[in-house]
Amino acid sequence: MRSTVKINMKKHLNILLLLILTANIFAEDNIILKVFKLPDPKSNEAFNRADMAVIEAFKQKYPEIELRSYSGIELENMELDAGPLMAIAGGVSPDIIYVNFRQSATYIENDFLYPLDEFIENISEEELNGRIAKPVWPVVKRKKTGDKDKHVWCMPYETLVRVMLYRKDLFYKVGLDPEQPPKDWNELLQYSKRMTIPEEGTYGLYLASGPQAAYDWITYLWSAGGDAVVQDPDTDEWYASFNGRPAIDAMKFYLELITTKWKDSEGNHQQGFVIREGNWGNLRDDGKLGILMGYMDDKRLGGELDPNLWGIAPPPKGPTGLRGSEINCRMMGIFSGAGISNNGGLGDRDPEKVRDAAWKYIRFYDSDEARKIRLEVMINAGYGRMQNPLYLRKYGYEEYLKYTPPDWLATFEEAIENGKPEPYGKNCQKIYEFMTYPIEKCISLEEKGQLGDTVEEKEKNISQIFDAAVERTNQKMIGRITPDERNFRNRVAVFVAIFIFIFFSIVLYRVWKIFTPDMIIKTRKKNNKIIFIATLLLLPALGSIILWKYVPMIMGTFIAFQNYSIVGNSEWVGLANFADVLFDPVWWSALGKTFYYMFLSLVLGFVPPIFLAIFLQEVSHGKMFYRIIYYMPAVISGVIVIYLWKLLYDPSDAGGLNQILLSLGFEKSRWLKEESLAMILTILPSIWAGLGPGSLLYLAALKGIPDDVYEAADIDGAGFFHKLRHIVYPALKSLILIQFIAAFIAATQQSEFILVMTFGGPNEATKVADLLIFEKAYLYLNFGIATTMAWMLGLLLMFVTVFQIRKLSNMEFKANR
Amino acid sequence: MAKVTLKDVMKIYDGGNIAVKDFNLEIKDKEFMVFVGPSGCGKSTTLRMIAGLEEITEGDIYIGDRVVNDVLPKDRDIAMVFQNYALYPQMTVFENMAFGLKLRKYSKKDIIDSVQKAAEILGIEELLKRRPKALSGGQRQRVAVGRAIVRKPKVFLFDEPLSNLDAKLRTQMRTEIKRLHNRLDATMVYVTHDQTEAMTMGDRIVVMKDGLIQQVDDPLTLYNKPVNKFVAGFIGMPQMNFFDGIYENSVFKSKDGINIELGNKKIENGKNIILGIRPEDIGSLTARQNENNPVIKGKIEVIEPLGSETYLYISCGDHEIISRIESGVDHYAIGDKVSFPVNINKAHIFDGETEKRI
Repeated sequence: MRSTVKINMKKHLNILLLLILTANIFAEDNIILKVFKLPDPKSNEAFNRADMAVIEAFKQKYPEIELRSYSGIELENMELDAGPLMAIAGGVSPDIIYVNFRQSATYIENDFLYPLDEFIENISEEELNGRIAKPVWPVVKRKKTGDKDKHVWCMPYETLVRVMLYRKDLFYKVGLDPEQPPKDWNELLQYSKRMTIPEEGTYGLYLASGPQAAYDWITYLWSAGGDAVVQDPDTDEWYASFNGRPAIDAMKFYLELITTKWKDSEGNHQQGFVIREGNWGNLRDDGKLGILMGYMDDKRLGGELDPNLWGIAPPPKGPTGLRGSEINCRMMGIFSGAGISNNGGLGDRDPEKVRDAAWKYIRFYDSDEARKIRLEVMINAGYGRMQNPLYLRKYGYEEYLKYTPPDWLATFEEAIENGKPEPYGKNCQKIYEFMTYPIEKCISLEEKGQLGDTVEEKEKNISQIFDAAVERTNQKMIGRITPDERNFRNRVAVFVAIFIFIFFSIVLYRVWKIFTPDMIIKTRKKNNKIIFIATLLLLPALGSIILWKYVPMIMGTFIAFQNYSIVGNSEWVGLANFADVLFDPVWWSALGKTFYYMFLSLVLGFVPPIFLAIFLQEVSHGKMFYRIIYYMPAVISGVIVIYLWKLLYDPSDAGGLNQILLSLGFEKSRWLKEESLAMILTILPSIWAGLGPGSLLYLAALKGIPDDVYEAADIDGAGFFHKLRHIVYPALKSLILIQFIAAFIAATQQSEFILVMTFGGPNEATKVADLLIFEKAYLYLNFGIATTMAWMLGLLLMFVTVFQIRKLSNMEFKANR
Repeated sequence: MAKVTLKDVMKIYDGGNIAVKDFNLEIKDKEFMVFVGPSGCGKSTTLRMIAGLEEITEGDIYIGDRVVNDVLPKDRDIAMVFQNYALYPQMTVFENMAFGLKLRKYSKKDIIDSVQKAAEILGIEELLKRRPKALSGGQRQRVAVGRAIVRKPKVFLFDEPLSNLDAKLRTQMRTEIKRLHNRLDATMVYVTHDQTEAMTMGDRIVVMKDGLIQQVDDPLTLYNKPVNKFVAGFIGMPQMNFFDGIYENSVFKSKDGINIELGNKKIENGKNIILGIRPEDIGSLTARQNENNPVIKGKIEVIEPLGSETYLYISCGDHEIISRIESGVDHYAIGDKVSFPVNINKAHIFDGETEKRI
């Protein structure tokens, strides 16, 4: 009996050992690979399913690679640009990161990307050229600043070109030949004029607006022979170049399209032949939009577009005879810290193996095999006629060739051949914004008739505006400063730093004083046990405050003195960041806007609840009704409030406020896109939501005033304002001060409303300090500068707070007098 | 000339509650008129209607010869002292008193003179720079009175001004206000729920119940000739003793066997009546003087010696009666069986149904 137990034990042990062993082997061979995005297994969309099939094939081919999808923070309009950077900063980056042209330089300069040279060596030239179009080579293979040699940094997996899409039925309707799309600017203008019929709700052309308005404009700049940024072949330095003749020509043409004044058949005044705002997407789907620019990609060309309704053509030629087709790619790169600094939750991984697996994935994702799989799935799903004819031919689906209009492929190939890569120089993720500024300025001046009366005057002004914008771009985006300037700035910075240090010490001393009682009462005997328990109880709170507030703050302070780099070594730069911030007009202007924002939200958010409370107190009937009405918005969550108001602010005819204006016979407004209005409009929603709760507090305080005091005042002969001044105000004084402090603090922390509603636009009209700091950190990866700015902002707020604490410490808190 | 006249005044609140009805009263110039009654009887409402703080539903109010129904409080030439003082908390005593004058655009000198004078009258000169929260209740009330008198109004209105003070202070302020009345020679209307205050202060007293005037008379008439059981019970401390019963052949007979010889009254036999006897008319020296006085028998339950007099609580059939006797005349102990003569000449007889005086 006993021996059988022993034998059984042995047997179990052996199995266990075997299990551990195999698990080990399994673990050794298995490698986890984090990819920035994997297809959604729940989505039934054809293209997604095609992608799924590719991933399945990859898994079969490389069973040892376990794919994980990275999901990060998502921000309105920003997820592709800021998301990955935030992930890298947070140490949770995927191994394979998404790279686009405009951010590529930032990634390369910050050492985020692992060079792919060693992998590429073993690949045939044919395969490489199949993946990388000719104009794309300078983007993927280039020098990092200070390096001698060029490296390949990333790999395209989808190539896109921006072409002209036009609506054949609308062409036909206005008597244009649907097979003859506009060839040049002049024709484009004529066609747009013909198709813009406001009475019928049709428009000739769509041009982008908002912070990315330059996105469409750049096509015209290229067609006029210009470029956004160029690289000096000797120094490899980038500089902005969107000025001079090409910019003037492109802008003049743009103005003609947008601002020409005319009268429609009903005699109404009209302006321009384009639609820039509002629900242009609906117009497009309803066939009421003649021409727009759109992407064609190598996989699907026209995608879901119906060749019977839609024509595709290269962009019209500019005066130089050039066609500025943008070429763009979605690309993948290997994160330099893959398997090193992003292993959180994954255990130890061998970096070499991770990179190897990553390359396998990148290579496979758009390989012949993958392309064939995708094509198969798409054809089986019934999308055969929408596929790239090149692939159809290559992978043996000739029978579908007849469905694709032959000119689509020709257009695509021509665009690839002559395409201009999207700007990919230093900090080019911001290039559209910098270019949009002068464009919108010219449009706005021309609309007001201030751009000039003669052609010469207009050209001169346009030229000046663009020259200034280029200079600003060079300074702000590319960061070109002379050594003399740098020296001067550093010296000023030292003085200011000393001053701030002294100031800070004084502030700290004052705070210390305020919180230390003048006399420590010594008569009471200290009870050690109670002190011990009290300390023990305080410890968790104190610890978490120190850990989460003070430690990061102090660590952050070091960053302010560094040219901080997320990956690799950070360089100590002394007060250089500080100097840069001091001399950065954008910073001061942002700070100004912060104070303007605070001022507005205090005036608008702080005073009205007081008066509302007084009115509510005076209302004789339906008190409950009014109180509920005013309190209701406070129950709605912040995000919903924002989106609700965004609907109201919609600048198109369909926008809530515009509908009201139009129905009353006024002109519509552009609301958030109006520089002078934007700031106040971003504040209104929070005021609206905060009005009720604010007033309830005051109402409660007002209830604390006995009726007979008002009656005594009545008999004394006091009117409404006398009572306000002599009875209501004194009773509310303490509460007003407390509320003021709360409102003040809230005003410094509410920039999320701006973030979501305008993201700093239009033309930086709402770019407050917080937002600038966010942008410096996560769009420019300039953590040193961002931290310095944050400290300066913090110091300013600290000053105000100390003042408030003093006020509060003098105050008696009592429920009643 | 500041008589105050109320003619057919009616106050009905939104919910239909009738606070005051058929109120007819003429308060003479320089008269000290007291409104008294239990809470909710409409006395404060009437005062507030005179002040203009409460709209009247029907009727007319005159101050002097002017109908003031639609005149704002500040234009009625009245001053009011509130129960909770209603001082402006952030103003000093001086500012509190000066506020009304300032709003009426008095010159600075006049304001200082008036406030100074009022402060002297009330003995609060040294408090002028303080704020209300640094004052005691009595001081606050003086300031409230001061605020009223600086303006020299035609009519002073007092809304239970002493009820927040302790007993001693109350007595003291009572005489002060009375002295003030003599000195200012003004019409004063004074609301209180305290019958002692009413009796001691009023030239005349309005006794109210459920929004209706019960009786308007000088204090002694009220005491000696109350028009009904309510007034009889409300006026007088301790309260009058009441016995329900019937009148039969000159004798009052209660159900619990108390029989009291009333003498020949013009009351039909068998009628339900209420016999009211004030405590001082039972067993006191005056009651004993007349040997013909009928006698009430009972047992002493509680003794309350007050010094000069003593209250005896006596159970007598189903009744508990109070007797108020001079101290030191006889000595009693709890449980003693006593038979006390009743001063029957001073007995009050009320109709058993209408409770009106017979």
